[in-house]
Amino acid sequence: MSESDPVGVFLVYSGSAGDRLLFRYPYESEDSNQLFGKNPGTNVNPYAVRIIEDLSELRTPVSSISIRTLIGYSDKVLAALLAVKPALCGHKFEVKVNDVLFLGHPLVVPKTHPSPKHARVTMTSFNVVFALQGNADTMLVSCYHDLSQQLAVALRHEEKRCGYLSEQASTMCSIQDDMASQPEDSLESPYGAMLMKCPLANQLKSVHLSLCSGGVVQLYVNQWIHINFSLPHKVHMAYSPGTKVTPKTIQRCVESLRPYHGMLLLVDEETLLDSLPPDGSPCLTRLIQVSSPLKNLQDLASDSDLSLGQVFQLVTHLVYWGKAAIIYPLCESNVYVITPDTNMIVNSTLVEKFVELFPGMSLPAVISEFSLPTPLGEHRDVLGLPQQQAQQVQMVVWMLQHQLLVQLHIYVYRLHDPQPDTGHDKAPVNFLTPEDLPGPRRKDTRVSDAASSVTSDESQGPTPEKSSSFDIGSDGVSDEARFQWSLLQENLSNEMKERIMNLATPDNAEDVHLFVRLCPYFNGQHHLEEIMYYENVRRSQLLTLLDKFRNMLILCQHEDVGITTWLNDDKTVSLSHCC
Amino acid sequence: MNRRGEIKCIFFSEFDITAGPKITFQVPKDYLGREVFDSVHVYIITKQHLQDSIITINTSGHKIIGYPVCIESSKYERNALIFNLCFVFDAATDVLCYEPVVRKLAGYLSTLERESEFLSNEDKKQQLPAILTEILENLNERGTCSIYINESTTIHLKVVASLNVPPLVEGYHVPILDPNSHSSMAVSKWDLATQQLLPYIDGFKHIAQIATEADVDIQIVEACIQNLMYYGAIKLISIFQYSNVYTTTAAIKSLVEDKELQRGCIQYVAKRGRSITTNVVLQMYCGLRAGTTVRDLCIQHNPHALGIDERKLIQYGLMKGFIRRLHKYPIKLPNEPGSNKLSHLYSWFTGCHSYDKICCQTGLSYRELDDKVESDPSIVVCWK
Repeated sequence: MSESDPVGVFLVYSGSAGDRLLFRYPYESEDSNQLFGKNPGTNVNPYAVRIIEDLSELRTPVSSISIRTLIGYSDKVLAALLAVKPALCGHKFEVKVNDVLFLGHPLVVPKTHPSPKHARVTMTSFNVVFALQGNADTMLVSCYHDLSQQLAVALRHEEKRCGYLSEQASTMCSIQDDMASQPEDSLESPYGAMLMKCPLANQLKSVHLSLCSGGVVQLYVNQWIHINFSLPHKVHMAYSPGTKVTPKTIQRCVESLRPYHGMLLLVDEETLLDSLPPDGSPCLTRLIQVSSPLKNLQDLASDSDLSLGQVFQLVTHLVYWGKAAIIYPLCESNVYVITPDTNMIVNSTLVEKFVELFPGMSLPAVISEFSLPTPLGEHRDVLGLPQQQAQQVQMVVWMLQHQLLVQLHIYVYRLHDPQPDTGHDKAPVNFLTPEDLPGPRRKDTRVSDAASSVTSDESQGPTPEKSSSFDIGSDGVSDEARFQWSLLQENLSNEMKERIMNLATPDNAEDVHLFVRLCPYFNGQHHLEEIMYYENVRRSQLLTLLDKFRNMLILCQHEDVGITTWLNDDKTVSLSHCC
Repeated sequence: MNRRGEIKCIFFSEFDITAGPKITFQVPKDYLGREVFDSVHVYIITKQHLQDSIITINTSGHKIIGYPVCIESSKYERNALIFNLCFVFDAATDVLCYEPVVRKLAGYLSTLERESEFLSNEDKKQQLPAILTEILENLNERGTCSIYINESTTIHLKVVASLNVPPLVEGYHVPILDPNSHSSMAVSKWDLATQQLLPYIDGFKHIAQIATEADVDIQIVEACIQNLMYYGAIKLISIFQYSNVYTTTAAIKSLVEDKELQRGCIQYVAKRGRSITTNVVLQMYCGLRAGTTVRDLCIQHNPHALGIDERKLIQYGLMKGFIRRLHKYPIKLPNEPGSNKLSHLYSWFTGCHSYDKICCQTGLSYRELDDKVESDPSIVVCWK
């Protein structure tokens, strides 16, 4: 049982006839109703001496949840607990009793002209309540509150429009009363009968069931008001069981969305388009129709004739609903490896699904090829038929959809200056003044002192000469280069500058300028693809540059944390535990 | 301990024969308004079926935890005394760790009442505000309090931070004492079994080995290790071998940015009497990737000459999460016949057992297993 599952859904109202529980699901058999507050299974002996200092019962509270169901709460108890005073209506309702959290959004029933048909029940307020496990995190709580509020508002609207709620309530009440008047040995539960006769009861049941299974709730209250809700904790489990995706993870993903990212649909296009409501945005339909894992968002924007901002919003929307994932568009230079959490038991359903789609292939064999980080282009069988190549791409897409593969990116770090001995932490290494700008003004002696003290073996030659050697390179160039150089100055130390100057000769002035331009990216925050996109450089160009300046740089390969959903915050901790 | 939210207010509420549910005492005074209390008092002075349960209400910016108690006796006017001592927090506070405190305090109060009519006697009850103030201040400041009430009762309370359940421990895991651990438990404070194990925890021996060397049953070792992990005193890493393969994680960024971490890392990783630079360490960490074993890395960088202890380098990286181990998972393809020589091992090759686990459980050496796996074409190997 997942902890994001609800343990029950309830509808209560308070009105002229007191508080009443109208419906609950799942309902339990009658005999377990009266256990609350007592230890189940132990009959309390009325003659037993009550031991005053018996704290044992204080220490071991009995859980009220068993097998996804709330136990030990009778209808009366629930009615008293969940029907609230008018003062609390219109706000979030959150009460936790022992290990059960009750969550709802009580609303006051609008005053309508009472028709004689509904005179039986006069309602003042009602509450749609979900019971969750007590340890539910705040994100989950707010998601459920959202759903409860949606339902409550829809019901209030329908009540106002045509008295739907009072009609349903009176049906439910009459079924309850009928059942109560039947002989005691009748085992039939009134709630079972309600499911037959009341559409509302049925809908609440389906809400509960769909929350437990897929996490997506889609229904029309009274065939009129559309309720649309997705529980991020659940919807992402369908494609990659075992991963814990929370709204926080999604938010992180969305925040790191960039125009060079792509969108990977997790369900096929047809199904997705069919599942959209008829009054859905046509933009979304258009976006889905042109989507492809090979395109980046900017291409998608131009293909679907939408603004980039709109595409971002739509993609975010699809990601939240678990219909799409953010990836870097597929290309030959992409490097994929196996996701560390992948569970690959030989006979798992995943393997079977794979064989169904790609007959004759075996998932373990295919995936084992991704043990080493080689670019996608090199996985391709050079002699293979185009058909096979197409299939290979499909397999990669499938594995990405199921989060079996994760892309590695190369990040670049600039080497830091050798640390002066501790105590000199705030040595003026990073201290730059306007005089340090290259050009007519000479360097401050203080700076060269610092530089020479830092690198005794490298600064043998007189410093001014070196900077003049750089000047040769930069003099011929425009002010732009100087501007870039000044940008660089802001986050470069003298020692680093000097090393760049060492390399600067008239021959490779272009390289130096490119390096200077790209320097702000060499802090481990930007992968090569991002640098390529933002600075409009080609991969080969960038790789050559990195190779030329390899003495000053460190390359490091790891996944893009921003868009990796399997890597959530507690996962990183546990990973470091269990490596 | 920073995670603990602050108690904003403590109030004592009871059912008054004439006025109904009311707040009798409140510290600080008038923190909770009359309207707020009136709207939620059904959850504070509750009906019978909700008594003796811990109830948390989150409303209008307050989170109120209470434990309603009812003492039945004919000496009271309505044959019962109903009271509830509640803690109030801000709505966003995580209050899970206060639940046992509230429960225990309710237990103390009902004992006091039964023994000495502490709550029904108006004179004695006047001590309550002072006690509540003391609890509030002490718990907020230090997280514990001991308050002397009378010769038979002293209220001891302690807020215990709710920690995560530690993961399962396996025989092939290597425990390592966390050098930065804040748990300041002296060796003598641990239980005897743990004390016996502690000298063997050096960051290289795996649990099965520790069990043999310390002559302690492996289940007991696992339980002890789990306990130590719960308190954050140790971490689990993997067995060190020169044939191991590691890869960097995104956390390597912190090593570049965090000067404090760099200093700690250099101190830990450097060989005795050698001074090294962050660059070298960073270069070595970044040299770790799939396909490169530690042996390859050593050949490439010669850590000995650089003054780096490569074993400690790996240890530190694993502990801080800069790197993670790539485990080898042999998988037997179901459709291939396979060879008879290896069939006894096929049950291990399902894809959920790593080399470490198989070696530890079967007693095979890494190389032996590798040879066997390589010789059988029906087995594929996944690194992850």
